[in-house]
Amino acid sequence: MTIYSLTICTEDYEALTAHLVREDGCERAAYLLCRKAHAGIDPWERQVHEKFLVTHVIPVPDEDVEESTPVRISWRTRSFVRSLKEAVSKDLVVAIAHNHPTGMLEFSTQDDANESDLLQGALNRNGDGTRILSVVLTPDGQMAGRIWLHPSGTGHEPLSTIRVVGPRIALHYPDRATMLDMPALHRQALAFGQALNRDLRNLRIGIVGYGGTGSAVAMLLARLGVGQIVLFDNDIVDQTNLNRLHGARQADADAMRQKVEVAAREIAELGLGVRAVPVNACVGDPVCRDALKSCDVLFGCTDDHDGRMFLNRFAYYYLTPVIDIGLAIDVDNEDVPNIKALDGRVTVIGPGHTCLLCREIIDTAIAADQALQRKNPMEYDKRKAEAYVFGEGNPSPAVVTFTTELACMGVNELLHRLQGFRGPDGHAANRVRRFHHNEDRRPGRHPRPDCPLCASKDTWGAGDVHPFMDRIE
Amino acid sequence: MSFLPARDREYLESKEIVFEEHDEGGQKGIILKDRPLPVDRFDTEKADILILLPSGYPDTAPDMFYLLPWLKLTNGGQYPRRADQPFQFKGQSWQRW
Repeated sequence: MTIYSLTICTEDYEALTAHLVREDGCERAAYLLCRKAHAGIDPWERQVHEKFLVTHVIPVPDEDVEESTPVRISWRTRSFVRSLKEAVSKDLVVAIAHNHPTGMLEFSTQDDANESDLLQGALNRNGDGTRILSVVLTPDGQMAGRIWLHPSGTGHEPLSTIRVVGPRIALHYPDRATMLDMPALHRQALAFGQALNRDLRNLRIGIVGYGGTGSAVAMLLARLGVGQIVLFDNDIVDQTNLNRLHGARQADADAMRQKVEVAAREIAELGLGVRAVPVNACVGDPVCRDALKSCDVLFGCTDDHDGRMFLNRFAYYYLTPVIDIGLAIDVDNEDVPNIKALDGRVTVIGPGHTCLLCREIIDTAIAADQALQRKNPMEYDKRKAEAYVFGEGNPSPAVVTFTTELACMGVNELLHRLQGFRGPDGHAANRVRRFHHNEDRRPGRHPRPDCPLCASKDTWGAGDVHPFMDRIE
Repeated sequence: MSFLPARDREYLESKEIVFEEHDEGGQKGIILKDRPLPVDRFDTEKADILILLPSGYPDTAPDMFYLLPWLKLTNGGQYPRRADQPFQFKGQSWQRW
């Protein structure tokens, strides 16, 4: 059975609620235009996962509303026809959203009848196989949704999750109020409430890069009870990793085990019911796509500029927040090195946030060299001989205490965005910990005006396009 | 199948620039066909321009370009400085710039 889910960014969600939820306590309606993200196999459910990504909110204009009461709404459908027309030309799916001022988070029999009529209108106009979604919203901002399918036995299937992503991350899913809690996670519920535990159990998180930082993130997420984790890395455990790779042992290095395999083993052995899927590949490899698209949130724990640049695009195209973590230790050449810089960074990218390119965190020249080295080693060596590429330097310094502390900072950022313990505006888009100066900074950066990713909404939620993410592989 | 990002394709089409897309062992390039060159500077008036698109483009920028036929300067009859290296693409030897 296919999994269906919906993602909307905070800006669009706020526009939607402002239109729907009014002081008069009456029903209103709007359309959401959605792009698609298709995952052939969701790595945990082993089924097709279809994600719908909201790109535009189209309010039903007040002058088109024929009747609006606290329990009923009817409106002229000319704006619906316009949306259907746009859907055909731009390969979109239309969602119908309305509010239930009484707080009922389910579809009424009246909704069933109205939406059946709208579906029929959509089928008549856009042809067989046309799908529409519908969403209800309550005054406290809760949402539930479904997809109308034709032909099908029931006529519709529920949306498994609706995500709102931005400075906060909200998850709406059917059993949020009733899911059972695990005794092992009781103590953190005492701090943050049951709802957080349920959100964590529902979450699908990808960790890109299983080094010192990624391994710490993985173990922290597993102990928090995150239900679904997928790990991306193409490397094996090496003896020189053992000073910082959580869960890895000398035996893993001797057996030349894949890092992600070690991670999945360690998480399974915790026995917390966390499902961890290993993907032994570079994040840019097409084999990663289904798993990446299936995730709600990603952690970027790679030190590879090319991989980071890939995630930077993914965050916006797929409305998927990426919590990117980096550590830079710069020393001189003395026998006992003097620290010139010991800086760690947790940066959140995705809708509403400045991207890593505009923050000048990614060096695109190094990224291109790393990609060339992977794809065309001969040409890379030739250019290296001509001094046209930078070449790899010595291994960079790494200390477990700093990589792990950064992992804690990154995971705490996620916890705040889910639970809100830091209060309003408690999110940090970019936090730099200067370990050698014992201080934190939060450098701000505005998007470059022409940035196609973060300066405008144009690419937010673009989803599946050809070529993938409008970039050269 | 086209590998060029939609934005670039739309731009080239809007300017009526004839182009071909080629993928040679994963190295992707576009060839702009028969492009006019600055008048009186080279011994040819038109050339095909090959631009290799690096992995990650458009986040990464193309480096160098390649011409066919090879050009010499009208003034002196030499290849321009550092534009004398061949590059094999699509079974042809291109002049690297």
